[in-house]
Formats: sequence, structure tokens, C-alpha cells
Amino acid sequence: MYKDRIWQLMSRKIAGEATPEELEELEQLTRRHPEERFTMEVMGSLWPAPPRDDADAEAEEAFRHQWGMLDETEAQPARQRKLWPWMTAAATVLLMLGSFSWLHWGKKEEAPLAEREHISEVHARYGARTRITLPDGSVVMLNSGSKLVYDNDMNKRSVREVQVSGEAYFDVAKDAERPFVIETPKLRIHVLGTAFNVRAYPDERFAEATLIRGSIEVLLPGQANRKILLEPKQKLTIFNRPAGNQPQGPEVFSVSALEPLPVEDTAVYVETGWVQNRLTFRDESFEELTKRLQRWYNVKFRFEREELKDFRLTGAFAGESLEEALKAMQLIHPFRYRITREPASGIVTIY
Amino acid sequence: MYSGEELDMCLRQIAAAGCQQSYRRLFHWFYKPLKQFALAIVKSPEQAEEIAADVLVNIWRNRGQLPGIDNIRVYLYVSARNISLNYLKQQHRQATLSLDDVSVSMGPLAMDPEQLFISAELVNRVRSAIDQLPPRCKLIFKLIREDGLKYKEVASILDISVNTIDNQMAIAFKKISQAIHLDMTRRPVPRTEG
Repeated sequence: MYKDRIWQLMSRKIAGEATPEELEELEQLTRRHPEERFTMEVMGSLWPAPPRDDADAEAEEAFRHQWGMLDETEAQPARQRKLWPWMTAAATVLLMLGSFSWLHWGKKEEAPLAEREHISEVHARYGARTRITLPDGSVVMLNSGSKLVYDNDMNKRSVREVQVSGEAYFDVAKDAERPFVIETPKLRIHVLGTAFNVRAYPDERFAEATLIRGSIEVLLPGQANRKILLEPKQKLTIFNRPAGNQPQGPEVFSVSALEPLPVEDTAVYVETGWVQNRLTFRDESFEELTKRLQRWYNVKFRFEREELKDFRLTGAFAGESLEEALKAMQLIHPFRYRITREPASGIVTIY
Repeated sequence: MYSGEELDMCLRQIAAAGCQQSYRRLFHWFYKPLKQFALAIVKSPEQAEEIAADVLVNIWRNRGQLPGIDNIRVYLYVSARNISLNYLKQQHRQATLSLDDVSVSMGPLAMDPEQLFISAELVNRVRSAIDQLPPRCKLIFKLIREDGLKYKEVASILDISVNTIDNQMAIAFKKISQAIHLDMTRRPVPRTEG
């Protein structure tokens, strides 16, 4: 029907997509059907669209807000390294210049991450958590005292590689052609598109990978052909070898199922509670817990009574201050504390 | 709206000189369109604002790599799309873009009835015909009319063929012109020259 052709040509013309031949064809058609000239005039008046009233004010407000945060991080002293802005004032993105003693397993066709040109390093300092959107659209939440290294050119690589030290929650954008690989000193994880948590703090006895959705494959150091496949709601824990042990021995690891925290009505897991700004713990010793509290609240803990280190705690904090948290813990087990404020961070003495 | 030359110049200033004023202009050109594009997918205004800001902040943060980007408009919208889909995934809702499930709000029409010799009623008809376009069709029509994108760019952004864009635009024109003609059956056709 001629009308379908007219609509097609008219839309191409008005959108600026028509070729000279098509313009001529439309001209012929509307000469034969003059009523369509009126249609075209009305439609043409829809172009170009006027700007929305609030667009400029909204953009300016958003710009000022974002720029304010960019400025804050950019304004920090640059020293030798060039400082890059990032969205939260708490985090600093450093251009990575130094090299790291990361372990590499398996063959790689590309240069190691640390030696590439456009890499970014993001730190979440103690007491802060940081959300990062990677160039491929994957989202990373970085927990306190953790570091993420990624390649700004990851979209041009055959493998999307990142490195983590500390703890991070990943929601990886699907891309079947370019696997997402996460390296930590103790684990190497292959992903296609999924959500999971990695925990590998240097000062802890174990490294952990927890899967929430999708599927991941975990490789153990020095055992490239040894793959562990995790199913959703499972976690893999690797325990550090006791000092002095020979590295040839098998890694000590366990795969266990996640259980939702009993105190919560929704599905919150100990492993990923921090992503929702909750500090969650189940049957942890006070000593283990203080390591996390140190990062969470940016304070140092000291025990004056050794026996207090071993008592065990289960619970979840959401937005509590340090003192509120300590008071809640005193209800579980009696102890006393004093907080000494120092310039940068505080010292909490437990006695 | 900006011209292609203005956009190119602006990007060169940002990449080469870290020019704040140019970045501000870029922000003004794209913040609202990106926010509305994200809003169509995630349907949460707060989240859409965060996504638009994320996309634009990433441009500043990685400004050294701007010269390597082929088409900045496609890049911006594709980033917004990916972050939006990631958000939906986090909400356990979906992982791929469902074009039949977008919700698009249309900007003002700015048709002047007197200048066009048409009735206010006809303007309303046109407006409601646009509002009632199917989601996919409405999104494509919006991106082309209001955001000034080319057929090819919209095709890359939505990951569909240029042919589909062409067809959907023809459908939009058909529905709108049917609304115009519905009006004309009830009153004499005004004569206009041009």
C-alpha cells in the first residue's frame, strides 16, 4: 500500500535519514496524494524536539554534585603518582605505577595486568566501602581496607581481568566471549556472569569465595588443572598453610552451603551482608571479629584480658556507631572497654 | 541540541586539556537524556539519576581514552544500558533488555496550532497517539526525535537491526498520522502551502 511507503519515507525524511532518491520518491507520492502533505507538515512540526523545561537545571545540579566529589579527590596532594577522581570521597583511585607480586597461574596471551598501560587501582580505606562500575558495566563493591586493580581497556581484551586484595562483592556483566577472571593471592576465579563475594585479606587465616547467583569456577594456586565448581549459595573456604609447611601438600579447603542469618527476615548472608552496609557475623571469636571491626570502624583493638579473645559472637550491625556496637556486644558477654582517640583513628582497649 | 562539530570539539578539549567547562557542557547535553533512557529500563528515578551520573563521571575519569572511542553517543547510551541491566540483575528481575517492557516518558511537543492552521484538539490527538505507542516503538521514536540519534546509533544502542528501527519509525508515523486523519474526517481540510 502506498501509505505504508509514505510513512516510511516520511519518517526517514524528517529524521534526516533519507537519500536523495527517497526524497524524490516521497515528493512524487505526495504530489499524487496531496492530503499527505498536510500530515507531513504536522509531523515535521514535531522536529526538532524542544528541550525539556527542567533539563538544564537538573543537569547543572547533578553536575555540581558530581564535580564537588570529583574535586575533593582530585585536590588531594598528588606527589609522584597521579591521583584520579572517584565518586566517593572515601576512596582514592590511583594510577597504578608500582608492580605487585601477584601469582599467575595458567598461560596468558596478554601482558600481566600490572604491566599494562591503562590500569586503575581503587582503595577502600578503613571505615569506608566503595562502589565501582567497571568499563564493561560490572559492578564491584569494595569492602574496607581492600584494593581492586582493573584494566581500563578491559573491553578490548580477550579476558576481563581484575585483581583483589581484601574483600569484594562482584556483579559481573554477562559477556560470553570474554570471561571475567579475578585473581587473589590464593584463588583464581573464572566467571561468565554472576554475583559473588571474594574475601582474601592478607591478615586472615583463610580465603573465601561465596556464590550468590550464576556459576563460578575456582582454581587453586599451583594446581591449574584442579577446578572447583561452585553452585549458587555455596562458599569455598581455603585455609592458609601453617607457617613452614611445604608448598607441595594439598590445599586445605571446604565447600559449604550458605544459611541465611537467623536474625534477619530477608535473605541476608553473613558473607555478603556488608554489601548492604551490614556488618554480619556468626559464631565468630571476639578476636576474629575485632579484625573486621578494625576495618569497619577504622580503629585498633587491644585486649588486656586474653580470655576475652575466645568468646564467640553472632549478630549483625546496620549503621550502628562503634560505641553502640560495643554496647550491644557487652549484652552478649560482659566486658569493659575504653576508647582512646588519636589524631587519625582510635584505640579500643577491651578489659 | 549540539552539532557534531561542537561535540567533537568538546571531547577534544576534555581529553587534551581536562577542560572543566567542556565537561560541564557534555554533562548538560547528556545527563537528562541518559537519565531518561536509564529510567525507561530501571523505572526508579533515584537509580536512573545515579546511572546517568555514573556514566558521565566515568567519562571524566577515563578522559585520556576519549580519542579511542568511536562514537561517544553510542558509548554513553550503551554504558547506561549495561549499568541499568546490571541493576535489574541485582534486583533479580532480568538480565537482558526487554524492549516491550520499557516505560518511556515523552517531552513536550511544542506544536503551535495557529501557525500550523490546526485545532488544539488535533494537537491533543497527536500527543495521545504518541503516548499510546507500544513501548518499543515509543522508545525508538523518543531516541530519534528527542535525543537526536541516528537510526544506526539507536540500532547499536538497543542491539537491534537498522531495519527494525526503520519499521518501528514507520509504525510511529502511521499511528500518529492516523490520529491526524481521524480528526480531518470531521472537519474541512485546511489548505496550507509548502
